[in-house]
This record gives sequence, structure tokens and C-alpha cells, in this order.
Amino acid sequence: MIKLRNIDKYIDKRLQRNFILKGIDLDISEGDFISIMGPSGAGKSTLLNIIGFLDDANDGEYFFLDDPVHNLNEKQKSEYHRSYIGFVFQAYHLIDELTVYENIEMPLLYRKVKGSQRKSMVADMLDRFNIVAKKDLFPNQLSGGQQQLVGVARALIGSPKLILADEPTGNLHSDQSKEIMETFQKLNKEDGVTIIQVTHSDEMASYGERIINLQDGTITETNPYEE
Amino acid sequence: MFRNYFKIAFRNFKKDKSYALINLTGLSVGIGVCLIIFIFLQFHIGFDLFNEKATNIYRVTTVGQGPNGELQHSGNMEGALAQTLVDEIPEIEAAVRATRYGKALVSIGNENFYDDGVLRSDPSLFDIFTFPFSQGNSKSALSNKTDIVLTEATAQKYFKNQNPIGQEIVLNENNRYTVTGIVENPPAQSHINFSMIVNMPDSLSGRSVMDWNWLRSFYTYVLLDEQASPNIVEAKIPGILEGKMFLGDSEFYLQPLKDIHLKSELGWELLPERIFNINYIYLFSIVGIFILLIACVNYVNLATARATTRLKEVGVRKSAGAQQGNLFRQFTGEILILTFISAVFSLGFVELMLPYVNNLMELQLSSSVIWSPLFLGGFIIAVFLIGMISGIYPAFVLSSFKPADIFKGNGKVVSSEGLRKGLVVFQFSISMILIISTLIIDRQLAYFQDKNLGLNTEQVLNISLESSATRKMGSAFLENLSKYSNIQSISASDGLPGESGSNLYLYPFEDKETPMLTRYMSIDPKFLETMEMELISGRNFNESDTKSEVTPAIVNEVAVKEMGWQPEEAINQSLDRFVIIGVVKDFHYESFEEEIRPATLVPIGDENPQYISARLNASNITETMNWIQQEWEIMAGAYPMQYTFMDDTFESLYQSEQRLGNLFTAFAIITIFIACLGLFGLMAFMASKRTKEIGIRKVLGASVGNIVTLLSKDFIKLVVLGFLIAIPIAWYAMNQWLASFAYRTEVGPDIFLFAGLTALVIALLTVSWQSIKTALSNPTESLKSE
Repeated sequence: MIKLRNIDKYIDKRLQRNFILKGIDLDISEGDFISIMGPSGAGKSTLLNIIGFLDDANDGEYFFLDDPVHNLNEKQKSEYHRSYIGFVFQAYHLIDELTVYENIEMPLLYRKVKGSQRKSMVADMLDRFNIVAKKDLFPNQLSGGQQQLVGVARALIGSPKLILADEPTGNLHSDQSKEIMETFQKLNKEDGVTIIQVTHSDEMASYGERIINLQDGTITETNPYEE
Repeated sequence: MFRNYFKIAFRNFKKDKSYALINLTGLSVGIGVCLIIFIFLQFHIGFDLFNEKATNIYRVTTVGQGPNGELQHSGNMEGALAQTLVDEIPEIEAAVRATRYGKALVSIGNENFYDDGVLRSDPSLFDIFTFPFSQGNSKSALSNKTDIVLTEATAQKYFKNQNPIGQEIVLNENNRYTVTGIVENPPAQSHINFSMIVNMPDSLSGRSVMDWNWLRSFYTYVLLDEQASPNIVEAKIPGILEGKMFLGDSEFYLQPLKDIHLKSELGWELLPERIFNINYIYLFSIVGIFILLIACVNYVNLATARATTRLKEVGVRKSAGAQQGNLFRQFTGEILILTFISAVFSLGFVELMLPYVNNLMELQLSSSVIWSPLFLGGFIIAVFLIGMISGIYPAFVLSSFKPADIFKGNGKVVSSEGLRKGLVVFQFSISMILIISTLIIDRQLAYFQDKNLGLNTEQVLNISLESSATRKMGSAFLENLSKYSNIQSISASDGLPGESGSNLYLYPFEDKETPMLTRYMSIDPKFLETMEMELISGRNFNESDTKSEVTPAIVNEVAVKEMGWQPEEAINQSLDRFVIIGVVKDFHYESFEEEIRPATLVPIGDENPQYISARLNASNITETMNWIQQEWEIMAGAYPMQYTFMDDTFESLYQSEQRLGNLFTAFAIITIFIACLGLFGLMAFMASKRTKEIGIRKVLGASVGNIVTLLSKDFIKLVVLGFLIAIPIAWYAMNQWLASFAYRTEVGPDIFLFAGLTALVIALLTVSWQSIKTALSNPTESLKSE
């Protein structure tokens, strides 16, 4: 599904070039559940952003479903983005001025889904995460775990094939984390959704099938636990 | 989708009420001011267009060179010209002459009135211009020389509810007219206005008005046929006048009717008060656009400054699949919502403010024009454009953030700070230019008021003797008044400073050919004392002067200087047919735009005076006036007393400057208000963003003063920079304006300093309010919140 070849990402300072990512080669198949680990500043988020089309690599090739992303224009990228990818963030990133219902509905607006259909899709999602009663509340009226559930619901509403989660449990305590991770696992197993998460926690990483270790912008090892 | 945008826009407005309020107020006032200016412009641009044949009506005018090489435009034509043009030039379908009757004594039965609005014209007036009849008809109304046509207002005034048709009106005691028609009141947008119209007489002062080379005092309008070209027609005119009329070097041109109100350059006009200078149209348009831009700038500044508060939303929306276009539309949508709400408020603003504007400008503008569908259509487009001007840049900046940058929180996010600073400087430059202009206009007005006129106009009552009957009793009336102790001094004359009067060409020089144009007034021996005019050499008139063989004259300093004498040398010199017996200090007798010209005063003698002037005691003015009024009624009961106070007369000489001053004061206040609104919003936002920093600084020992300085100094720098930019522009522009006055005030550095300080104090108050509030806040509060 995803094929990265020799991906570089760098920032040019006055005299030197600072590499954030250097020579990344990575293959991810459909249905994988992958955890990216590594110390702060290793380039985990950047890698996730590049995979999620939020950022561009400076060098290298990126094939998404065999299409060369590095050659796509903004519009085509946006199409892929809308139809295949959902994001979950560490800080939830719900829009403060929108209610739970409206936050979940928002991606559908950009997919031009009709009103009646939107209604039923959002209702399904509220149902699935048991937050029907909270649909008219604003994010600041929810607990962190509840906010992240909304975040996940929002990522899932467009039925993405790929979920990118940047430390989804970083701000949550362990019970809430577990709930989110179980949700991910279920999605992965039952619906075949590909999941890539960035995490610092071995426990959270263990929900995945494969671990990619990043250090100073390069992949040092994959699947340290399987060997 | 759009519902979602609306929702988020309104929730944002609710969350930050001051932000929404600042923009709403600024834009409402900005758009409102523009609407009022639009109504004003619409009024002036639409002049004379009510005439159905407006596009084919032209006024015949000439342009020639004056004595100093300047172009002199004139619309005063000879009486025979109109008929000659119709007879000789086939393209001219009709022509009409018009001239003012002058102030007329109107007698109806035993009642007398004065009326300044009588027009002399030809029956063809109604074929050319559109003045519809409500009684009588245009074909027969002026068929006899004794016919008179009234407007509805005049008919109502003189005849109340009687049928005016067939009634008799006597003008100036012996000209009898019969009312033959009533026309609707001429529109306010007509450069021809009248209360009554009488037929053009065949002769004036005993000579036929159709004689050539005698009298040029008729404004002449022609109606061309649809296909005619005015250029071809005007080229034909000199040829047909050859041998009839002295042409000199002046050239004829046909002035389109629609140009008369705004573009006329004639030295004299039928009704000068119905002429407007097109430069003011440009000036007001520019000011309106700038006020609106200043309101737009507020949005740009606040929206870009507050961009950080919207970053997360941009990032989330983009990661949820939004393209830049979606976000761009969302953010422009927000400003469009604000602008359209402001536009609705601005309509209310117009309704609220228009009465004040009318009062200020002495106009009767109506807001009805803005309720027409055509205007509202254009208005919606204009409001959309205003919204786009304000919103396009902030929307572009906001929508172009990359989610990766936003989430990483790295500093790549555009700050637009330089732009904001530049725009604040722009706002304050404009405000400052308006403040300086206002101050200079005020200073010039104060200069007029304080200027030594060479005479004292305070408490001088001028009674005008308009009819021959009142003129005959003038001397006796003066005799009666002079007994009253509250009248300090009283005199008679046939002309007055500040009123239009007669001019005379004298030939005082050796060659007897070079003329000297002088104002010519006959006065009695008490006149100089009454006016408090100063004799600097020679003597005043005495009773015996009227009987002397050679008429003695008192001249002003300018006249003496022009003839090359010192004031002392001039005494007993002859001046044309006069002999100079005294020299009076220069005194103003006409507009301040003109330099004082020579003046010749001669004794009034036995002829009946035109004016009686009395200097009253400052106390008991009302009592004195009542007494004078009573005396008048005893002697001339049938005729209304016509009087003015001389200081009012002089004030009216600079009335248009006074209006301009008032208008600029309003403009300046509005501009600085909107600019300060923006500054206030910006300051409030900056202070809230730096709350933590300020908390830390306070904990580390910074005083309130330190903090206020820290927060305010950047903004104050911008205001000062705006001031520096404003100085040369305002200086240049106002010098251009002042150059049109022969007598003008000095533009010293004090005005600029005062303007700068005013703006600075206002700006300081604006920013310090917020910074003091922040500086006084408890540091533990702000630090705890993190």
C-alpha cells in the first residue's frame, strides 16, 4: 500500500543542511498495524506527516497504492487524502467552536456527502463510540478520553483505508489509552484498516504487529520484538 | 457546508465580541460615510438631468483673455443673440434668454413682500426646459408681456387658498402682471431656480434689448436637434454675428447643460449658489474611499494578528481533507458575513446622520435614492468588493498554512507583522492629514474673523431701502433714528462693504487711456464714523461738499498706491473728474479670495440713499431693534423692513469655507475614531498574548510604568511615523488650498505639532487603557493559567 524509497527531509540552515529524515525505505501493506517509535526529535511525526500527505519530502519516492505521490499535484493528493486517510492527534485537535456532532461531521463536508446521508453516518459513529448523549456538547465540556474518542470517530467517519495516529494516547491515562488502542485493534482486525501510530509507550506499541524504530532520521530496526 | 461556515463564524464572533464589534462598528461607519458621500455626489452629478431634453440643451458662452492673460469665461450674452441663432442656424431648434429681475417689491392688493427669485425669460423656456404646468399651459402662459407664471410654492405663499389664475401682481410698484400659469416647484437639482417668471421686456432703461453692442446680461440656452453636433454649431456662430456684434478675441462655445453645475467656469452665474466645484466631488470621493479603507485595514490587521487563534482549526480541517480553496472560501465568507451585517447597519447610520449632514451643508438630501432596486443591486456588489478587499489577504494567509507546520508549532507560520505595522502607519497618516487640514481650515476661518477689515462690523445694522417709496423717506427716517440714544452713529450711503456694488472705470493716468477699476460708493459725512473707518490723511466730507463745483472724493490706500503717490501727496490731486480730499485706510468690501482693489468714495448729496447704517449700543439690542421696527412701521408700514447685521453679511462671504471646515472636522473625527478602534483591538490582542510575559516581568520586579511603556512603545512609534509621513502631504495640499485666497493665514509648525500631539494623545489613551489594565493584573493569575 505504501512504498517509501530513499526519502529525505531536511531544513537548510545558513551553512549546513539539517536532516530530519534521511534515506528512509519503508514498505507497508494493506491491513498492517504499525507503531513508529523512537526518541524525541527522531523524525517520527515528520514521517507520519509525509505518509499522510500533510508534508512533502525533499527527496525520494513515495508510492501510495502504486501511485507516485511525489509526482501528484495538490488536487490529486487532496483526493487521496480525502478518500483513504484519517488522522488522530495527540492533542485531539477538535475544533473548539464546533459541537461533537459537528466535529465528526466536518470531514464529510469536504467529501461533499449529502445532508441526509451525513446525518445517518454521524449517528452511526456516535452510536459506535457510545457518545450519542454528548453530541451537542463542545470539546471543552468533555474529558480528554472522550475528546480523543471524538477524534477517532472523526478520523473514521470517511471510512479511511489508513489511519495515522500521532501519539493518540499521549495525553490520556491508562484506562482511556487502552480503550482507544482496543478500538484501533478492532478496526484493524475486523475492518482491515491499516493503522500507523507514533508512540513512546512499549505497551501501546505492543497492540501493533510491527514496530519501526527511528533514530536521528533513519530507521534503525524494524520489529525488534519479533526476533 | 455553508451552514457550518455560518455557525463557526458566529461562534467566533460570540467568543471574541470586541473583535466582532470593532469590525462591525468600523465597517458600518465606513460604509455609512461612503453612502452619505454617494448620496451627496448623486445629488450633484444628477443636476439638470430632470430636463427631458437635457442632452440637447446647451448654454451659449464665450471665453476670452482678461487683462492679465487669464481666461475669462462669460455667459452674459446680448439680447438679440437668441433670436438670431434660431433664425440663422438650422440645427438650433429653439433658444431662450434668462436673467434675474433682481430683488423685487411684490405688491398684491395692499400687501407688500420682497422677492429675490423673479426670473425674466421667454416663453420658449418651457419648450426647452421641463417645468411642468399644474395650471395654465406652456403654450399660452407667457404670450403677453404682462403675463406672469408662479411656482406652486409662490402661489401658496401669496394667494393662500385662492385661485391664483387671473390675479394681479405688481412688481416694483408700477409693473402690473396677471397670473397666467402655475408650474411645479423647480427641482432642487436645477441650476435654474425661480419663484416667478415674467416675460422678457422689449426694452430696458428706455432702449430696445434687441439692439446690438449695448447690453450683455442674458444667459442664453439653445436646444439643438438630435443629430446636431455642438462643435459644428458653435463654429457657425462667429460667422453669423459678423458685422452685427463686436466680437473681440472671445470665442464662442456651447456648454452642455449637464456640465453647468459642476464644470462651469463663468465669472458670473445666473445663480452662483447652484454651482458646485467639481474638485470637491473628487475630494469627497477620495476622503470617503480612505475612510472605508481604514475600516478595511482594521479587519486585515485584527484578522492576521489573530491568525494564531485559528491555526489549529486550519490544520485540522486540512488534515480532514480540506483544500486551500475550501478554507479560503470559509475565511472570506466570514468577513463577507461581517461586511453584510455592517452594510445593513450602515443603512441605519445613513438615516440617522443625513439630517445632520443636511443641516451642516444646508442641503435637502434624501436617502430615497439608496432604496431603489438599481442602487441596492450595485450596493450589494460594492459591499461584496469591500468584504473581499478586507478579507482576501487574511483569508489567503490563514488558508495557506501547512498543517505539518502548525502541528509541529515551528516558527514558519507567517506573522504578517510588517504588513500590520505598515497599515497602522497608513491609517494614522490619513487621520493626521485630515486633522492637519481641519486645523488649517479652522485657522484660515479664524483669520477671516480676526482680520482687521479696515472697518468694524460689530453691532452695525444695515437697513436696505428697496423701493422708491422707502428711498424717498430715507433721509427723514435717518433723522428720526439719530435722536435715539442707543444708536451711537447713523449714516446713509448707496453702497456697502460686503454687498455687491457698482464699479467704475477711472482714467487717472497721464495717458488718459489706462483704466483703473474702482469700487464706487456714495456716502454721507457720518459714514466713516459709523463704520469706524480710519482716515489716514486729508479730511472727511462735510455738508458743503455736495455743492462744490468739482466732486470731492475719498480714496483708499490701494488707489493712491496704484497712482504712485504717498497718502499725504494725494490730497488735492485730481482723479479723473474728482479731486481727492482724503485717503482712507484699506477696507475689505468683497470676498477674501480677492485682493483689496481701489475704492472711490464720493458724497451722497440729495439723491435718495439706498442704505441706512446704524451702529447700535451693544446693550439693549433687542429693545433698540423693536424701537427701530416701530419707527419703520410708522413711516413705511406697507413695506417690510429689510435689514441685516453687517457681521452676518461678512460671515456669509466665507460661508462655503465654513461648511468645508465643518465637514472636515466630521471627517477627521470619524477617521481617527475608526483608526483608534483598530489600534485598540490590536493592542488588546497583543496584551492578551503577552499576559504570561508580563506576569513574569512583574514577578521579576517590573513596575506598572515599565509594562505600559513596553506594551505601548511599538504602537506609539507607528503613530509618530504616520505623523511624519502626513506632514509633507498635508502641507502641500493645504498650501494649494490656501493659495486660492489673497489673504491667508500662515501655516506654522505649531499646527503640525498640535495635530501630532492630538493624534498621539488619542492613540496613547487608546493603547494605554489596555496596557494599564494588563499591567495592573495580578501576575499569579496569568502564570497559574499555564
